[in-house]
Amino acid sequence: MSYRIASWFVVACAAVTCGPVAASARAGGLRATVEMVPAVSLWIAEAPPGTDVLGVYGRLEGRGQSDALQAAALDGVREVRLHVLTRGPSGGGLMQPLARLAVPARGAVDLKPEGVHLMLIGLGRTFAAGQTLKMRLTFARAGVVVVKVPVRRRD
Amino acid sequence: MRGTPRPGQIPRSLALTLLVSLGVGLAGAWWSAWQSGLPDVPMATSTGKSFAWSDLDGRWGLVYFGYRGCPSACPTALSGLAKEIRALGPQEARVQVVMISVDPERDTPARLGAYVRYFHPRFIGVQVPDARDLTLVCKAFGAAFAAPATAGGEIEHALDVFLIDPRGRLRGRLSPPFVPGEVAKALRG
Repeated sequence: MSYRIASWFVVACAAVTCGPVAASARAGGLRATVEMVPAVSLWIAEAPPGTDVLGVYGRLEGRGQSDALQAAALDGVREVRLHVLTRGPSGGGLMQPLARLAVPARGAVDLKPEGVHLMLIGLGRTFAAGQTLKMRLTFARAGVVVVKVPVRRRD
Repeated sequence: MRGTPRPGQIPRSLALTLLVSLGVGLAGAWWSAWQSGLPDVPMATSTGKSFAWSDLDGRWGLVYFGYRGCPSACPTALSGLAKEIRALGPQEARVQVVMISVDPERDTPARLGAYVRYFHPRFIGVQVPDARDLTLVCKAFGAAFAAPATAGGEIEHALDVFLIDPRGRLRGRLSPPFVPGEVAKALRG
């Protein structure tokens, strides 16, 4: 009985602390399995005047199973792309699209301006510090996950 | 007698005058040579006036090449620069941040002005209207720049911040990611 309570407790804690979670538990002992999506902690940089593109930064952290971010979407935005800042042929900075972003089973991948990040293209809405928006992320294994993403000033 | 030139010898005062003149001439030539290093091309500022390098007028210039449509590198660099400038305190007035647009067709002076002032009210944006002039300016700084292959595409541009000292000399560059205090250290150096 105590094992059963303990296993359900583990699943409940995961659901509470990890946000988007697809959890299943096999009753009857410690063999409870928890299929969790990566922990997502993202933020959108507030839009300077007259811009039509924005960066999304933060961290994706594996929770025991490797996965890969394949796509993202946000209401009021024409397109969300995965990008990485690389050196172009002239030696300057140049964005290159990425098809997917691998998330290790036990480890994290940081989304930052000078590396991999999400790019919002075609802003059909305002992005002001203090807002919290819902973003849909599509992972290869965990499927579609909806996360809350705050808008912040860069500084 | 000491100080009395022998026949055929140049008087000491004359030699000194010649040496000083030569020094001043060389210094002037050096200064002019540097001045020609930054092309004197038509440029417009976000304040509605024309811009010339001499407008920096004894201040440090921090020059960044970017554009409004840049999703990540430009706003991050400008935001970092604003933080660095504010950290200078009273010395802030000794520094002028200039963003030169690498997308002059879309970045009109008015649009540039609203954009750069979002980061700091004293930042100025500069439009070099002629594409050939812009290439000249980029080359003078050693700033990478390549127009997009297709209209509206990504523009390849330098990620560095270029330092111009109060005498107008190009003194170096800072590369991202910028470390807090890096600008203050560069200005001291």
